[in-house]
Order: sequence, then structure tokens, then C-alpha cells
Amino acid sequence: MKKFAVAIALMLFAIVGNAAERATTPEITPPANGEEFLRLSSTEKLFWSIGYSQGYLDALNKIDVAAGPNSACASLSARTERQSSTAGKMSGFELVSGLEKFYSDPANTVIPVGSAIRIYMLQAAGKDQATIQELIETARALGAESSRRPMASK
Amino acid sequence: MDSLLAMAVFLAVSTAVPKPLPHRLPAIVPAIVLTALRDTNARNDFRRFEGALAVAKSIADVMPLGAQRNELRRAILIYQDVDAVWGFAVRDRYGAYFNDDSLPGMHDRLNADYPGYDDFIAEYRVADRKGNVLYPTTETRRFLLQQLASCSPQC
Repeated sequence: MKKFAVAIALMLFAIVGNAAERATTPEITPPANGEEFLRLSSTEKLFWSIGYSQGYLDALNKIDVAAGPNSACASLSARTERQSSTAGKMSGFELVSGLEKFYSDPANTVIPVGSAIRIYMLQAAGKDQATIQELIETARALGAESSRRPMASK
Repeated sequence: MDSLLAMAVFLAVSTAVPKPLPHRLPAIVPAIVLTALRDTNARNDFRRFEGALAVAKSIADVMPLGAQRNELRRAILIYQDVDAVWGFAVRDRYGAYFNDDSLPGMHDRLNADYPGYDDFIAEYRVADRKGNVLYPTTETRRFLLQQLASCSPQC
């Protein structure tokens, strides 16, 4: 009987702990584009940005393991993808601020978040305005096209 | 926006022509300006919002004393706070959040001027790794715009 009571008490503690954790950690649906990004609260944007940077870096670090240290994938990752990583280059606060500014132009809201981050990073690095504008135009066209296409899961 | 431009021209002309203040303005003018301020906020168009705010201020300056002017001035005071927070968000590299270092005295002032601000923003404030408390500009702006709902239907 005593063991039973202890088990119930432990279970109740676990439920309460789980509920408390849920209350402090926002459940975030990853935004696909600016429209979805702007719908998040600032706290959710910040949590998501930090998670995105960490996840991107983790994925890059795992390419060596998955594709082999000297494979084409690994060299592509080192050459190109690492440049697009925000980890270690900008804080979550800066990423949120940059994306909010980028998406403040209503025409940009169709642009996928990944493309927006790359463009913002190029902008922050001082890339020339003509190239940036060309990238934005292309990303807008691709974003508009993908939003017209029906999703496979729907 | 055309109506705003026309109004700006009207004001420029009316202030250039020497006649005793206060100027007589059609009753619809403040309502048009407030609509422009509300719409530019809804469209997230900061550049036009700043233009509309400048026009609103110049209209309030030439309006005769009275309830209508008071209403407009109250809305302008709130929109000026919106402008300060939004301007920071647009111009600063870390503009999504502010604190006493980036916008000195802003949090305390908002807290003093708007009852309920501290409770509202408490849910959204975050602390960085050094323990500095930061307040989000987006939610602050949203709170300020909600304050306009409590003034007359004109706002």
C-alpha cells in the first residue's frame, strides 16, 4: 500500500513537472515563410531562431558522419553551407531583428525563411544592393510559386 | 495617401496666408489623418506612418481648442510612442528587443504613462546571458495600438 502511494505521488509530481515545463516552453510550429514568421510572438521567434541556428550547425557537423569526411557533400558543406549558417555569426536577437526588418516589406512575406536568412546575412555582410535586389526578386518569384503549389501532405 | 498630400498642401497654403489662428478646419480632416495613421500601422508601412504622423501634428497645431483637438492630441501622443519604438525596431540591428541601454527610460516611461503595460509585457520579456532584461518592440507596439481603442471612436 505504501509503495502504491509513493508511486502515485511520483506520478503526480511528473505530471505537474511536465505541465510546468509546457507552460514555460512555447510549442512552436516552424514558420515556412514570412507570413507564418510574423504570426509568432517575439518569444517564439527568439526560441525558434536559436533552435534554427543550433539545428543548422548540428546538421552541418553531421554531414561528415553521414556522407564521409572527404565526400563531395562534406566539401560542399564546408564551402557553401557553412557560410549560410547563422551559428556563431549572429545572436538570436539579431536574427529575429533582421527577419522582422526583412519581412516588414509585405512583398517579402512569401519568401521562405531559409532564403530570407541567406539574403539577410549577405545584406549584413555588405553585399552590393543590385545583387541583393536580384536575389530578393528571385526568392519572391519562387516563394509565390511554392505558395500556389498544393502541399503533398494536404 | 493622396488625401494626405492634399491636406499637406492645404496646410502649407493655409499657414502661408496671414490670418488669425486658430484656423478653421473641416471636421473630417482629423478623422482622415487618424485613418491614415491606423492604416499605415496595419500595413506595417513605417515610412508612410512617419509622414502621416508629421501631418497629424501640424493639423493639431492649427486646430482650435476643444474636445476634437484634445482627442487628436491624445492619439498623437500614443502614436509618438509607437513611432519611437517602431523607429528603433526599424533602424537598430538588434531592434526586435529594447532595454534601458538601447532606449533609455522608455520602459519606465511607458510603465508610468500606460497602466497595465508592465503586466502585459511581463509575459514577453526575456533576459540575455548577462541577465539584462529586454522588452520586445513588436508586442510593445501592439500594446500601444490597443490603447487607441480606449479613446473615442475617431482614434
